Amino acid sequence: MTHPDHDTLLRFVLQTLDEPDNAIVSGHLPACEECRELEQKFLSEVEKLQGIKFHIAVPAPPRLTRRSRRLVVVSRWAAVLATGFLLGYMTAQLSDPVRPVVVQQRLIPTRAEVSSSAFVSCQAIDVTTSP
Amino acid sequence: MTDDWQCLELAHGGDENAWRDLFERHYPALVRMTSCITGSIETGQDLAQESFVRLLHADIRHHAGTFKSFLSTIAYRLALKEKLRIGLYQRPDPALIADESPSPLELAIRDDTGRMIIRVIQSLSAEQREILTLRYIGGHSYEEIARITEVPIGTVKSRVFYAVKTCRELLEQRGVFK
Repeated sequence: MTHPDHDTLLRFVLQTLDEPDNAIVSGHLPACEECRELEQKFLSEVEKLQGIKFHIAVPAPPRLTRRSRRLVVVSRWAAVLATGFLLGYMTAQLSDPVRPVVVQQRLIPTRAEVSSSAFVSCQAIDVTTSP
Repeated sequence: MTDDWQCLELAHGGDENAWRDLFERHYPALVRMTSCITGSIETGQDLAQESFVRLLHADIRHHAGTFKSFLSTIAYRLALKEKLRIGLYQRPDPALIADESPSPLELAIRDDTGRMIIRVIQSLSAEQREILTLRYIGGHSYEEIARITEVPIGTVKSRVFYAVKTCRELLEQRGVFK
């Protein structure tokens, strides 16, 4: 007679053994006193695991205040819309192309140019763009 | 005794007695479960209270399981979040197991065997501790554990087997299991 090993018997006791092994062990046990004793030992150990007694005092329950379901729904939608708006704004900011900025530069004549008789005017305006 | 779901519905309607009944019926089990997961009785008590607050605001329309598993799912998730927050994911120091002075969690247990079992469960890895807690402290079926932890049932069974195997080996070493 082949006895199931300890692990298989423990799995059987824990009801974690798959078929057909479960049926084989189940059929073996009535005919084997040795395995039945081991099964009883495992069962009593599992009972000890289940039977731990705690001493827990029960306090008063939390206050029974319930938010209105409509308010909850409205709040959730408001949060979704606000998040969407924020994300959209941030995306628009990131994807916006760089616009050229016109910078006016005035040429200031040097002292030499001012003193020169050939100098007429340096009121030229150079229009450049920012990088 | 009124059904738990009915009690919750009555509580939603403002029935204080139904709310108290529901709380008294499930609070101790929630404290046991969350205390064993977090390793602290005080944290477990806080999380059990918080679970009831969440229950009051939860959307129960699409839940197919039992009330107990629904409530345990809330508590389990809160416990995991709390553990993550306070950094208890690491395995406890073995020196703590050798320390004979009982922790507040152990002091909440009535008998020496129970205390030793809890001490050994606390020394296991987080995964094994959680699965043993849900199965034997919380008293959940494999199907319920699979729903609570969002893990396939085959994995749940396998984890329970290895957790029990490790636990009973440690308890045999300490002479609790002969």
